[in-house]
Amino acid sequence: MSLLSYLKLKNNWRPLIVVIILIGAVIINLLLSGGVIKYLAFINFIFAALVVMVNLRSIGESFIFAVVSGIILDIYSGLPFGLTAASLLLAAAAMEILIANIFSNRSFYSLVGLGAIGLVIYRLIFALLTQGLFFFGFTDATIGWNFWLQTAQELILTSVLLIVVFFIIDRWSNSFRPNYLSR
Amino acid sequence: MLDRLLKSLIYSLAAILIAVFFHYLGWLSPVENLFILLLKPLQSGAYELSQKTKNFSDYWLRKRNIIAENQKLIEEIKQLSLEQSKIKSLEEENSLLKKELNFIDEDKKQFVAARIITGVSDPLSQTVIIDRGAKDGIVKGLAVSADRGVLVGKISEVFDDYSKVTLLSDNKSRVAATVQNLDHTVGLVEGQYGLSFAMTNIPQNQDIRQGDLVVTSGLEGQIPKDLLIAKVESVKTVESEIFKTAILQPIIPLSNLSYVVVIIP
Repeated sequence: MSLLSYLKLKNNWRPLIVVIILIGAVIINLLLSGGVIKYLAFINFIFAALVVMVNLRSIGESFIFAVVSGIILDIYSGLPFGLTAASLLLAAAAMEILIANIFSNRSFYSLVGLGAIGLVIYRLIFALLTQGLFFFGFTDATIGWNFWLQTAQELILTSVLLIVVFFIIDRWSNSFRPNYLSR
Repeated sequence: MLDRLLKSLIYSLAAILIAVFFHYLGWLSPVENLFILLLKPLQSGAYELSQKTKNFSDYWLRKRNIIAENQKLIEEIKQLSLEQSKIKSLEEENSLLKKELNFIDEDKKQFVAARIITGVSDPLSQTVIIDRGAKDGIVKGLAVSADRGVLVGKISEVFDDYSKVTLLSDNKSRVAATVQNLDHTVGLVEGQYGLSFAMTNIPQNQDIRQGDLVVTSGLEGQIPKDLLIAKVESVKTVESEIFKTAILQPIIPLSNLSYVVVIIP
C-alpha cells in the first residue's frame, strides 16, 4: 500500500496534510516573490491555495488562511502593514459569495474561472486600498500601468497553476468529482 | 450563509486591525523578527540561486553584445587610468596641504557590510531585506551603498536583526542630489514606479548634459555627501514648466545586488 493511499484512508491525517501544504504554499510564495526572476514571482501560490480552500473548506478556514498568509506577506512588504491581508480577506469573501451563488465546487471550469475572477477582484481591491491610502497620505506608492501588466501576467500564470493543482487533487481525491461519480 | 459570512468577515477584519495596531506599536516586532530569522536560510539560499540563474540567462541572452561591450570597456579603462593618475597626484597634493594647515579630518564614517536575504512580496515596492538591524547600529534613513561609493537606497524599516532597504528605483524613494557640472545643480532623485529613477526640481536655466554624474548633496543629515548615484541619460525639458527633469541611468543594476554596505555617519 502506497503512502498516499494509506493517507487517503486515514481521514484524521488530512487536516495535518492540508496545514503542511498551506504552509508550503506560503513559504514557496515568499521564496519566489523575493527572488529576482520576475516570472516566477508572478505565480501566486498563496492565492491558488486560497481558491482551493474556498472550494473545498469552510468559510472560517479560508478566512483564517487569508488573514494569516496575508499578515505573513505584509511582514515582507514595503507597503503599509495589513494591506495585503485585508485585500486577500476581501477577495476570499467575494469568492465565497460567488461560489455560493454562481460557481460550483465540483467542476474544473468553475475552479479555474473562480480563480481568475477572484484574482482580478483581489488585484482591484489591492489597487483601491493602495490608492485610498495614498489619498490619505499613508503611502507614496501609487498604481501605474505596470501594476495592471503584472496583473495580466499573474492571471495567466496563476490560472496555469490552478489547472495543475486541479489535476493533482483530482488524481488523489474525490473532492472535485460530482457526487454521483464519488465512491 | 450570508450571516455566517458577514460574522466571519467582521471577526477577520478585527483580527487584521489588531495586528496592524500591534505592528505600529512595535509589539509585533519580536514575532516579525523571529519569522524572518526562521526563514532566513531558505530565503537567502533562494535569493542567491535566483541571482545565479538570472546571471546565467543574462549571459546567454547578451552573449552577442558582450564582445562589443568589452571593446568599449577597454577604451573606457584606458581613459579612467589617465584620470586616476591625475586624481592620485591631486590627492597627494591635497593631503600635503591639509597637513600643512593642520586640517582636522572629519571623515569618520562607519561601514556595516550586509547581505541581502530577499526582496519584498508586494508588486509595488522595490525593497530588499538585509541581515543587519538595530543590534548593529542601523537606524532608519541611513544610506545604503554597493561597495562604499555607489548609493543604492536608504534604510526604511529596522528590526533587531534585520532591516528593510528602499531602493532608489522605488516610487517612495527621494534623495537630495547634486549634478557634477559647472553649475553644481541641486535637485531631487526620485524613483519612477520601480522601473528607473529621475532627477526632478531642476531649474530650467541649469546646464545639464548627457553623461554628467549625479552624487548625493549631503543636505540630508544621515546621507553623506558625494556618494555616486547615477549618470544623466537624457534631459526632459518642457518650456512652459519651471523645472526640468533628468532621466538617470544607474551605475550598477539594482536587481543584481547580493551584498551592500550601510554607511553610519
